Amino acid sequence: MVKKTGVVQKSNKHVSFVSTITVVVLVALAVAAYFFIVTSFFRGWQNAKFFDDVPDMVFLVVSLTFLYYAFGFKRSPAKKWLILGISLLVLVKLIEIPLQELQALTPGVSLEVIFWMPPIIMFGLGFLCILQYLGERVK
Amino acid sequence: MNDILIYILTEALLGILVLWKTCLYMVNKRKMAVFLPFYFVGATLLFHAGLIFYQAYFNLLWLGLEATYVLLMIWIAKTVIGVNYAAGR
Repeated sequence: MVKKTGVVQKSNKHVSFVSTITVVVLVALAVAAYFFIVTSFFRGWQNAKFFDDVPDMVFLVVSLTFLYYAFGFKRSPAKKWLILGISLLVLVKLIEIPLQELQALTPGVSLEVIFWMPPIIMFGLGFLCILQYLGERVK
Repeated sequence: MNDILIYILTEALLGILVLWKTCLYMVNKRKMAVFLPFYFVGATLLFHAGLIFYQAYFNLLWLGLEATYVLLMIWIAKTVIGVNYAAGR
């Protein structure tokens, strides 16, 4: 795009070497592998808490795909907030899957609340970091 | 019981923080559509805290909540990518 000053501004389109579908499929495979590895330490994937784990895995796929695209964005001081925010959200879901499996080991007994405090704090902070990024980026 | 109250209050506080900051940005930047997903994130966090307070662990309700988070994340991703495209033009 040519500005009035005559300076040619580079396009802001990020470079993606693979299509979105390929990214999603690769990320989904990685998340499924993580699920099978984690559940093998507890009661096996056959007895996993699918009802809790599957939504977490879908969230992980979306977040990791978003993280892949976030790394390709134009360099800016605010970009660190975006990377930090998405990383926190990814970390929360990575922690939650083993925690849920741990909770399922003893039916009827839930884990101490102290186990669930870091994930929920990181979850809120993750969204706040992405919000901070948007606040700095949007003029 | 006190432990779970601390958890609920923490989550509610984070929800209010997200809502408050979103409203501030909406007013200051005068761009409602960009920050709208975060308004729903704040509301969903508060709703989540409310569900735990009333111990409403109904399967479908819980699944709906998780699905809401996923949809909101997709919305946020689309918004952020859109903002990045628009910033270079």
